Amino acid sequence: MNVATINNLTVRYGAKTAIEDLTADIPEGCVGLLGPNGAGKTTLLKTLMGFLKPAKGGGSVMDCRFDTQGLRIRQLTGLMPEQDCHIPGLSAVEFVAYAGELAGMPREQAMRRSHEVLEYAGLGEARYRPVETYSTGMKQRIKLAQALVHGPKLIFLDEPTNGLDPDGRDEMLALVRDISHGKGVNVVVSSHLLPDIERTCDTVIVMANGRVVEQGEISTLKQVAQKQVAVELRIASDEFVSALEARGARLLSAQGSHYRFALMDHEDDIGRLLFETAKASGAQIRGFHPALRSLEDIFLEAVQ
Amino acid sequence: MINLQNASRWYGQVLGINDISCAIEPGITALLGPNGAGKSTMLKLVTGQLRPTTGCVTVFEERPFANPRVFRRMGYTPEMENSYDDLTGYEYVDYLATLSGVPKTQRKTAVESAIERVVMTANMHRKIGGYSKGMRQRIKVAQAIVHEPELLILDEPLNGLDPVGRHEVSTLLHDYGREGRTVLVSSHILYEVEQLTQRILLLNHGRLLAQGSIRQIRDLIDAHPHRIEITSTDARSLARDLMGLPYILSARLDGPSATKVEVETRAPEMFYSTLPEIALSNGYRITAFSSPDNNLEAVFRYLVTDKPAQPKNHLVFAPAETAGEEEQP
Amino acid sequence: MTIETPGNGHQPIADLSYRNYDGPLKTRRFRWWIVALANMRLTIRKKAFWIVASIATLPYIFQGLSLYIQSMTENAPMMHFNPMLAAQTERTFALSFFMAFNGQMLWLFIVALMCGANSIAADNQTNALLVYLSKPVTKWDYLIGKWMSVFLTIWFVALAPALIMFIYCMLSYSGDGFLTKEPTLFLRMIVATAIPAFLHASLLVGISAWSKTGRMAGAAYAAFFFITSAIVSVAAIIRFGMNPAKGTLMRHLTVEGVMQGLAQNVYGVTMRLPKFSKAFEMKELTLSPPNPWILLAVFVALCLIGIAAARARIRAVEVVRG
Repeated sequence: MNVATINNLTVRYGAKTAIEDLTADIPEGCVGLLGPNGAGKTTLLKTLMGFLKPAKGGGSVMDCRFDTQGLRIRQLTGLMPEQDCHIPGLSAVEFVAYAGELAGMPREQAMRRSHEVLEYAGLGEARYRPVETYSTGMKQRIKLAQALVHGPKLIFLDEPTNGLDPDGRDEMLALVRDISHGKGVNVVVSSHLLPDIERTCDTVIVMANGRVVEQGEISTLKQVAQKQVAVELRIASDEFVSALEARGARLLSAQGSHYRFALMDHEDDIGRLLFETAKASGAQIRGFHPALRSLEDIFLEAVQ
Repeated sequence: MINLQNASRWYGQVLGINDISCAIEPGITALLGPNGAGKSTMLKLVTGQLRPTTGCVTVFEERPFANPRVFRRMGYTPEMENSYDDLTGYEYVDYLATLSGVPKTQRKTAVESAIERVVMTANMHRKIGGYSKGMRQRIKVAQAIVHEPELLILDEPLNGLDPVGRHEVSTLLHDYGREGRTVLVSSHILYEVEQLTQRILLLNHGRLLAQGSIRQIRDLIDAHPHRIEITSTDARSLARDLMGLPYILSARLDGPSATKVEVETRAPEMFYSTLPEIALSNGYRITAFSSPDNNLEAVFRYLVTDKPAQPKNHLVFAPAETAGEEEQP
Repeated sequence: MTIETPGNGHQPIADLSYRNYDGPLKTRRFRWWIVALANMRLTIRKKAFWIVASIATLPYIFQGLSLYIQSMTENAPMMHFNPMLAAQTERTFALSFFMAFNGQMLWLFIVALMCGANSIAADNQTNALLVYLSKPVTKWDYLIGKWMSVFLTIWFVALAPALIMFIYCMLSYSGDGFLTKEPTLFLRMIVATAIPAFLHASLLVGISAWSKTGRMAGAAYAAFFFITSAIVSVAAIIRFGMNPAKGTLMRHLTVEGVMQGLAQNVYGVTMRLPKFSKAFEMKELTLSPPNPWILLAVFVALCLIGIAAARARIRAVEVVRG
């Protein structure tokens, strides 16, 4: 089941073509939208919400065509924009209630729901203060709350952890993960920060130059063809490397005391192999795990 | 290069930083802390925009406040987003090169090489108003390095950059550090900081919480023993054996099926030496092991959220090379 | 707190995490009203607004008092009290309303600044448009809502005291033929009070859309207002000399003048000042309403320009210049 389908979409900004012949399906669950600057991610989000008219092609979001039914789509979806935005002169709870009313909720429902959503986003007593007095972290939460207030089944988050300190990032990502797993809300996260995407999303779509260059489930994309292992030693040791290579491994990369090896396919007990090699070469292993392609590798490979 | 001695700064009633003493050496140092911890205040003091209310701040052994001699040897990328929208990238860097004292004869080459180092040569003659966020970020870094300063101070330099851009700027900073210059980076994105440097300065509520290498600091956080997670088909037996060791404080299985065991210990070094023996002699199949909280994020969280406590030097099980002489607040 | 789930019996601990909202979502028709209401609520909260609104009732109170005093002393001509009223032979009540209306001009201007300057400018400052347009709200909904909020606020301040005076007159002067002699007065009052509301709203919404802050918008509008007044006065003096009887149309070609001129036409009154200055060799100054059609054209033009300017400026989608 796809929450959105896009067919041969082309979007132009004046002379510049921002999106070129893009075809993609956005599945349910939490989807990450990755891409370098200028790849067209924000343009895509805006087109999906019906702001921008495609030059060619089309598609639908939540079963509504985005080139003609933009208004209906915006009633069924929510957007958490990247930039700071709020309605001046209102407190958080009034702002979120107003957002709900704009989406079509009756006034009392909007107010009730505003409280509920702000509670969920972690805003306690602060919700009665004007939004102008808020810190970055709180403003981000309010942006998320105003996207959720009318109960959309699909929300778009543009750089949700922008400007947050590590604690704030943790909490925001936990919220995003919670909402998209088990609460029936589909989420599309557009972000530069790969660990954020890894933590919250199950599928990714990688864009570059206005096209989709890679898409799929993160776990599938990360699979490697051969058995690979990442090893961290206490200190870098060339003896360890040569000893391991003597036993059939191949060094793929080395950075300080972090190594990556490709092992022979028949290698069964990796632990034994590594411990024996370490013992023989006098190195101390601080950790190892079967290596998958990191999201960063996937991204860089797709983009270059 | 940078020296703070009992430096404090407050704004009316509001505290910026409180009695901070530290020295920043050549290489890359990361300045960390939650929002409101005092990082911007500290950066403003170091870049000479503010004077300390008490104590003293010196850069290159001079006071930096309104001191052109210091500014000439320093490059700074502030966090703010405003920019000269009507200038082209080239003009902007050129203008700031002039302000930084680059002599006229060398200016063109300096500007062009700075712009090339941040990979903006293709766009340098476009107006900044048309730049994306990442491009603005990069041009800011260019203006900071154009006069080849010995000291580089960057406030959230990787903000808004995609992984490609981040990689380029990080490489640039690594090179700078290796050349013996001093780089001070303030950032929230801990996993990126970890890849840049091991040296951190952690602030919270205006106080200096910790200073030194991540690993050493981690070892000294007594309240949170190291956690090490081992994935094994023989997790339960492994757990039983590990509990027999005197320096293992706890062993926890992940469920009745026992695929992972997580141990806590205050002597990780000894654990790392002993685990291979146990595994090999008993024939346990271990498919992975790692320490989930032996990283910057864990250090940050433990130090920032815990109540301030005296970090004890757990000498009982500390092996020889764990140093405890790092300066503690 | 317990929740019954089908087949499971009681769940003692309630699930207070995120719940979906499956309630009603109204359709489009009322969106602009929500925008209007929100803006008006913000204005109503300001104390200053109520103070100015109260002051704006004074002209009507003054006129009411005039009528009252005159009615008390019917036989003695109170010319030195309100010569204009005494000189008026027909549409006396309309004249009172018109003069009160004139007296309100400044206060209506201030109220307009209060609710209009900020209307879109504050949103520009805080990027609020991103929020609006990510909801099922079109740019027209937004614009109409903002315009309506300014219009209704100003109209309220203009109309409320007028209504009260109307009721007072109805109660006190029906015997004098209040309702019978001037049957259309009610309608004229409604239309006349709407005129400044309409014009201020259109112009302010246009200026506000192009400003980055409310203060800039207010300053810009005030500047426009007063500079056009100054230019027109000077031009009129150059053309017609100091004689107030001549060049009436030109003198009315300012923002305020257009409003007053149109209102005078709506009320259908001619102002007569007897015993006017000897310097101009006039016994009586008669100011009839200036040409309504020209004024109407100017009025409509200004309104359209204001609204069009606002519409052109509202964009939530930043254009990435290529």
